[in-house]
Amino acid sequence: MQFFGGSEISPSPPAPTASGNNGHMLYVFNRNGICLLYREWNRPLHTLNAQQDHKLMFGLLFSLKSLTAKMDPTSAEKGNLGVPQLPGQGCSFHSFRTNTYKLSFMETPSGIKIILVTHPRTGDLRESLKYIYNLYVEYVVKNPLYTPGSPIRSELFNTTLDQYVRGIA
Amino acid sequence: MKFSIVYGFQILAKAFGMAAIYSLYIINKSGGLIYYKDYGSAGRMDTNDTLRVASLWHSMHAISQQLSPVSGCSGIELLQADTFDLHCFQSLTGTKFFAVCEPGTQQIESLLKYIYELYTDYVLKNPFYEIEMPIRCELFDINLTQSVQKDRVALLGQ
Repeated sequence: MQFFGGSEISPSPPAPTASGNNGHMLYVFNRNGICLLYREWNRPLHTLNAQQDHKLMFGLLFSLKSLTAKMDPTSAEKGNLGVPQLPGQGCSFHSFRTNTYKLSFMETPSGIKIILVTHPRTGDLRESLKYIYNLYVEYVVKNPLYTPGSPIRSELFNTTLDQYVRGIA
Repeated sequence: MKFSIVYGFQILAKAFGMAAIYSLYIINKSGGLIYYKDYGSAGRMDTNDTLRVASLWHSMHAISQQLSPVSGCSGIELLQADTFDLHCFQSLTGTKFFAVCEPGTQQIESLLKYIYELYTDYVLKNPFYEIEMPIRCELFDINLTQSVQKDRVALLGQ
Protein backbone atom coordinates (compact mmCIF):
# COMPACT_ATOMS: atom_id res chain seq x y z
CA MET A 1 0.00 0.00 0.00
CA GLN A 2 3.00 2.28 0.35
CA PHE A 3 2.65 4.87 -2.38
CA PHE A 4 6.07 6.39 -2.07
CA GLY A 5 9.21 4.45 -1.48
CA GLY A 6 10.28 5.87 1.82
CA SER A 7 8.48 7.78 4.49
CA GLU A 8 9.97 11.07 3.37
CA ILE A 9 8.86 12.52 0.09
CA SER A 10 11.07 15.59 0.04
CA PRO A 11 14.85 15.60 0.22
CA SER A 12 16.07 16.45 3.68
CA PRO A 13 19.50 17.58 4.79
CA PRO A 14 21.94 14.92 5.92
CA ALA A 15 21.59 13.55 9.40
CA PRO A 16 23.66 15.30 12.04
CA THR A 17 27.11 13.81 12.05
CA ALA A 18 29.01 15.74 14.66
CA SER A 19 27.09 17.44 17.41
CA GLY A 20 27.55 21.14 17.91
CA ASN A 21 26.48 22.52 14.57
CA ASN A 22 22.75 21.88 14.52
CA GLY A 23 21.45 25.07 16.06
CA HIS A 24 20.45 27.47 13.29
CA MET A 25 19.15 30.56 15.04
CA LEU A 26 17.41 31.89 18.12
CA TYR A 27 14.91 34.71 18.52
CA VAL A 28 13.66 36.38 21.68
CA PHE A 29 10.59 38.59 21.36
CA ASN A 30 8.81 40.56 24.03
CA ARG A 31 5.03 40.76 24.22
CA ASN A 32 4.90 43.78 21.93
CA GLY A 33 6.60 41.91 19.13
CA ILE A 34 9.92 43.69 19.50
CA CYS A 35 12.87 41.44 18.76
CA LEU A 36 15.05 41.65 21.87
CA LEU A 37 17.65 39.24 20.63
CA TYR A 38 18.54 37.49 17.43
CA ARG A 39 21.40 35.00 17.35
CA GLU A 40 22.47 33.15 14.25
CA TRP A 41 24.90 30.23 14.14
CA ASN A 42 24.33 28.46 10.89
CA ARG A 43 22.11 30.10 8.32
CA PRO A 44 23.16 29.81 4.69
CA LEU A 45 19.87 31.14 3.33
CA HIS A 46 18.60 34.68 3.91
CA THR A 47 15.41 35.44 2.01
CA LEU A 48 14.63 38.79 3.66
CA ASN A 49 16.43 41.56 5.46
CA ALA A 50 16.75 41.22 9.23
CA GLN A 51 13.85 43.46 10.22
CA GLN A 52 11.41 41.87 7.78
CA ASP A 53 12.53 38.45 8.89
CA HIS A 54 11.77 39.24 12.54
CA LYS A 55 8.38 40.65 11.67
CA LEU A 56 7.52 37.60 9.61
CA MET A 57 8.61 35.25 12.38
CA PHE A 58 6.53 37.07 14.99
CA GLY A 59 3.55 37.12 12.63
CA LEU A 60 3.89 33.40 11.99
CA LEU A 61 3.92 32.60 15.70
CA PHE A 62 1.00 34.89 16.41
CA SER A 63 -1.12 33.36 13.68
CA LEU A 64 -0.13 29.80 14.51
CA LYS A 65 -1.18 30.44 18.09
CA SER A 66 -4.60 31.68 17.06
CA LEU A 67 -4.88 28.71 14.70
CA THR A 68 -4.09 26.16 17.43
CA ALA A 69 -6.42 27.94 19.87
CA LYS A 70 -9.23 27.66 17.35
CA MET A 71 -8.46 24.10 16.30
CA ASP A 72 -8.13 22.67 19.82
CA PRO A 73 -10.25 19.49 19.62
CA THR A 74 -10.51 19.02 23.39
CA SER A 75 -12.31 22.19 24.43
CA ALA A 76 -15.79 23.22 23.39
CA GLU A 77 -15.46 26.96 24.00
CA LYS A 78 -12.83 28.36 21.68
CA GLY A 79 -13.93 31.88 20.85
CA ASN A 80 -13.37 33.50 17.50
CA LEU A 81 -10.45 33.01 15.19
CA GLY A 82 -7.85 35.77 15.30
CA VAL A 83 -8.84 37.32 18.62
CA PRO A 84 -5.62 38.20 20.47
CA GLN A 85 -5.02 36.00 23.49
CA LEU A 86 -3.09 36.52 26.66
CA PRO A 87 -0.02 34.34 27.27
CA GLY A 88 -1.16 30.99 28.62
CA GLN A 89 -4.71 31.44 27.40
CA GLY A 90 -6.06 28.97 24.88
CA CYS A 91 -4.26 26.02 23.31
CA SER A 92 -0.75 26.94 22.23
CA PHE A 93 1.96 24.95 20.46
CA HIS A 94 5.49 23.99 21.39
CA SER A 95 7.12 23.03 18.11
CA PHE A 96 6.71 22.43 14.43
CA ARG A 97 8.85 20.56 11.96
CA THR A 98 9.48 20.97 8.25
CA ASN A 99 11.82 18.91 6.09
CA THR A 100 14.67 21.38 6.63
CA TYR A 101 14.30 22.66 10.18
CA LYS A 102 12.51 22.32 13.48
CA LEU A 103 11.22 25.32 15.36
CA SER A 104 10.71 25.11 19.11
CA PHE A 105 8.68 27.77 20.81
CA MET A 106 8.07 28.83 24.38
CA GLU A 107 6.07 31.70 25.80
CA THR A 108 6.42 32.85 29.38
CA PRO A 109 3.54 34.33 31.41
CA SER A 110 5.05 37.78 30.88
CA GLY A 111 4.80 37.35 27.12
CA ILE A 112 8.48 36.75 26.38
CA LYS A 113 8.70 34.40 23.39
CA ILE A 114 11.78 32.26 22.90
CA ILE A 115 12.22 30.57 19.53
CA LEU A 116 14.96 28.12 18.73
CA VAL A 117 15.45 26.81 15.20
CA THR A 118 17.42 23.58 14.90
CA HIS A 119 17.99 20.56 12.69
CA PRO A 120 14.68 18.73 11.96
CA ARG A 121 15.74 15.61 13.81
CA THR A 122 16.43 17.19 17.16
CA GLY A 123 14.22 15.92 19.95
CA ASP A 124 11.97 17.72 22.39
CA LEU A 125 13.58 21.01 23.40
CA ARG A 126 11.00 22.29 25.88
CA GLU A 127 13.34 21.87 28.84
CA SER A 128 16.19 23.53 26.98
CA LEU A 129 14.02 26.54 26.22
CA LYS A 130 13.17 26.80 29.90
CA TYR A 131 16.86 26.78 30.66
CA ILE A 132 17.46 29.52 28.09
CA TYR A 133 14.73 31.54 29.80
CA ASN A 134 16.62 30.99 33.06
CA LEU A 135 19.75 32.38 31.44
CA TYR A 136 17.73 35.37 30.26
CA VAL A 137 16.50 36.01 33.79
CA GLU A 138 19.96 35.64 35.29
CA TYR A 139 21.98 37.64 32.79
CA VAL A 140 19.49 40.15 31.42
CA VAL A 141 16.61 40.79 33.78
CA LYS A 142 18.90 40.92 36.84
CA ASN A 143 21.24 43.31 35.12
CA PRO A 144 20.55 46.76 36.64
CA LEU A 145 21.70 48.52 33.49
CA TYR A 146 19.17 46.78 31.26
CA THR A 147 16.02 48.70 30.32
CA PRO A 148 13.08 46.32 29.76
CA GLY A 149 11.91 46.27 26.16
CA SER A 150 15.25 47.30 24.66
CA PRO A 151 17.41 44.98 22.56
CA ILE A 152 19.72 42.80 24.63
CA ARG A 153 23.39 43.76 24.41
CA SER A 154 25.12 41.58 26.89
CA GLU A 155 28.35 39.91 25.92
CA LEU A 156 28.18 37.54 28.87
CA PHE A 157 24.65 36.41 27.99
CA ASN A 158 25.60 35.86 24.36
CA THR A 159 28.64 33.72 25.13
CA THR A 160 26.77 31.62 27.71
CA LEU A 161 23.93 31.16 25.26
CA ASP A 162 26.26 30.17 22.41
CA GLN A 163 27.95 27.66 24.64
CA TYR A 164 24.67 26.16 25.81
CA VAL A 165 23.12 25.87 22.34
CA ARG A 166 26.28 24.21 21.04
CA GLY A 167 25.88 21.70 23.83
CA ILE A 168 22.25 20.77 23.17
CA ALA A 169 21.77 20.96 19.43
CA MET B 1 -27.10 8.23 16.85
CA LYS B 2 -24.26 9.01 14.52
CA PHE B 3 -22.43 10.88 17.25
CA SER B 4 -22.60 7.95 19.63
CA ILE B 5 -21.05 5.66 17.03
CA VAL B 6 -18.16 8.04 16.53
CA TYR B 7 -17.74 8.43 20.26
CA GLY B 8 -17.80 4.67 20.73
CA PHE B 9 -15.10 4.36 18.12
CA GLN B 10 -12.90 6.82 19.95
CA ILE B 11 -13.25 4.89 23.19
CA LEU B 12 -12.42 1.65 21.37
CA ALA B 13 -9.44 3.24 19.69
CA LYS B 14 -8.14 4.44 23.03
CA ALA B 15 -8.70 1.06 24.64
CA PHE B 16 -6.59 -0.61 21.96
CA GLY B 17 -3.97 2.08 22.04
CA MET B 18 -4.71 3.08 18.48
CA ALA B 19 -4.68 6.41 16.82
CA ALA B 20 -7.58 8.75 17.30
CA ILE B 21 -8.08 11.27 14.54
CA TYR B 22 -10.08 14.34 15.40
CA SER B 23 -10.57 15.82 11.96
CA LEU B 24 -9.34 15.76 8.40
CA TYR B 25 -8.97 18.62 5.94
CA ILE B 26 -8.10 18.72 2.25
CA ILE B 27 -7.23 22.07 0.71
CA ASN B 28 -6.56 22.88 -2.94
CA LYS B 29 -3.44 24.62 -4.20
CA SER B 30 -4.86 28.10 -3.57
CA GLY B 31 -5.86 27.40 0.02
CA GLY B 32 -9.56 26.75 -0.49
CA LEU B 33 -11.09 24.01 1.62
CA ILE B 34 -12.38 21.24 -0.61
CA TYR B 35 -13.04 18.56 1.99
CA TYR B 36 -13.59 18.55 5.73
CA LYS B 37 -14.55 15.71 8.00
CA ASP B 38 -14.91 15.74 11.75
CA TYR B 39 -14.46 12.55 13.75
CA GLY B 40 -15.78 13.79 17.06
CA SER B 41 -13.81 16.73 18.40
CA ALA B 42 -15.31 18.77 21.20
CA GLY B 43 -17.08 21.93 20.09
CA ARG B 44 -17.64 21.53 16.38
CA MET B 45 -16.50 24.38 14.19
CA ASP B 46 -19.00 25.88 11.81
CA THR B 47 -18.41 25.96 8.05
CA ASN B 48 -17.04 29.49 8.00
CA ASP B 49 -14.50 28.67 10.68
CA THR B 50 -13.28 25.57 8.87
CA LEU B 51 -12.79 27.63 5.71
CA ARG B 52 -10.85 30.27 7.66
CA VAL B 53 -8.70 27.73 9.46
CA ALA B 54 -7.90 25.98 6.18
CA SER B 55 -6.79 29.11 4.38
CA LEU B 56 -4.87 30.26 7.45
CA TRP B 57 -3.00 26.97 7.43
CA HIS B 58 -2.22 27.47 3.75
CA SER B 59 -0.53 30.81 4.49
CA MET B 60 1.32 29.52 7.56
CA HIS B 61 2.64 26.70 5.43
CA ALA B 62 3.91 29.19 2.85
CA ILE B 63 5.49 31.50 5.45
CA SER B 64 7.32 28.62 7.11
CA GLN B 65 9.07 28.00 3.79
CA GLN B 66 10.27 31.61 3.69
CA LEU B 67 11.78 31.42 7.15
CA SER B 68 13.85 28.32 6.51
CA PRO B 69 17.54 28.70 7.37
CA VAL B 70 18.51 26.33 4.53
CA SER B 71 17.15 26.09 1.00
CA GLY B 72 14.75 23.42 -0.20
CA CYS B 73 12.09 23.79 2.48
CA SER B 74 8.66 22.45 1.59
CA GLY B 75 6.59 23.66 4.52
CA ILE B 76 5.37 22.38 7.87
CA GLU B 77 4.97 18.62 8.14
CA LEU B 78 4.10 18.33 11.81
CA LEU B 79 2.80 20.88 14.25
CA GLN B 80 2.83 19.85 17.90
CA ALA B 81 0.31 21.80 19.93
CA ASP B 82 -0.49 21.35 23.61
CA THR B 83 -3.55 19.16 23.05
CA PHE B 84 -3.14 17.82 19.52
CA ASP B 85 -0.73 17.05 16.69
CA LEU B 86 -1.33 18.31 13.18
CA HIS B 87 0.21 16.27 10.38
CA CYS B 88 0.32 17.77 6.93
CA PHE B 89 1.07 16.10 3.62
CA GLN B 90 1.46 18.14 0.46
CA SER B 91 1.12 16.43 -2.89
CA LEU B 92 3.30 17.42 -5.83
CA THR B 93 0.43 19.42 -7.33
CA GLY B 94 0.02 21.53 -4.19
CA THR B 95 -3.05 19.88 -2.71
CA LYS B 96 -2.58 19.64 1.06
CA PHE B 97 -4.00 16.92 3.25
CA PHE B 98 -3.87 17.51 6.98
CA ALA B 99 -5.16 15.65 9.96
CA VAL B 100 -5.62 16.71 13.56
CA CYS B 101 -4.98 13.84 15.93
CA GLU B 102 -4.04 13.00 19.49
CA PRO B 103 -0.53 14.01 20.58
CA GLY B 104 2.06 11.36 19.81
CA THR B 105 -0.04 9.44 17.28
CA GLN B 106 2.18 7.44 14.95
CA GLN B 107 1.72 6.53 11.30
CA ILE B 108 -0.52 9.42 10.37
CA GLU B 109 1.86 10.22 7.53
CA SER B 110 1.17 6.88 5.87
CA LEU B 111 -2.55 7.33 6.46
CA LEU B 112 -2.42 10.72 4.73
CA LYS B 113 -0.60 9.18 1.79
CA TYR B 114 -3.23 6.47 1.65
CA ILE B 115 -5.95 9.15 1.68
CA TYR B 116 -4.09 10.81 -1.20
CA GLU B 117 -4.33 7.55 -3.08
CA LEU B 118 -8.06 7.38 -2.39
CA TYR B 119 -8.33 10.97 -3.62
CA THR B 120 -6.60 10.17 -6.89
CA ASP B 121 -8.69 7.04 -7.38
CA TYR B 122 -12.15 8.19 -6.39
CA VAL B 123 -12.05 11.95 -6.87
CA LEU B 124 -9.67 12.75 -9.71
CA LYS B 125 -10.83 9.79 -11.80
CA ASN B 126 -14.45 10.78 -11.35
CA PRO B 127 -15.53 12.35 -14.67
CA PHE B 128 -18.05 14.59 -12.94
CA TYR B 129 -15.56 16.10 -10.53
CA GLU B 130 -14.36 19.59 -11.34
CA ILE B 131 -10.78 20.07 -10.29
CA GLU B 132 -10.11 22.39 -7.30
CA MET B 133 -13.79 22.32 -6.33
CA PRO B 134 -15.33 20.86 -3.15
CA ILE B 135 -15.35 17.07 -3.12
CA ARG B 136 -18.74 15.42 -3.28
CA CYS B 137 -18.00 11.85 -4.24
CA GLU B 138 -19.86 9.08 -2.49
CA LEU B 139 -17.25 6.43 -3.17
CA PHE B 140 -14.53 8.62 -1.74
CA ASP B 141 -16.59 9.15 1.41
CA ILE B 142 -17.24 5.45 1.84
CA ASN B 143 -13.63 4.43 1.37
CA LEU B 144 -12.33 7.21 3.56
CA THR B 145 -14.67 6.28 6.39
CA GLN B 146 -13.54 2.68 6.11
CA SER B 147 -9.87 3.51 6.16
CA VAL B 148 -10.12 5.89 9.10
CA GLN B 149 -12.77 4.31 11.29
CA LYS B 150 -11.85 0.69 10.91
CA ASP B 151 -8.49 2.04 11.85
CA ARG B 152 -6.15 0.90 9.22
CA VAL B 153 -3.63 3.23 10.73
CA ALA B 154 -2.02 0.42 12.66
CA LEU B 155 -1.83 -1.82 9.59
CA LEU B 156 -0.65 0.77 7.14
CA GLY B 157 2.64 1.39 8.79
CA GLN B 158 3.76 -2.19 8.31
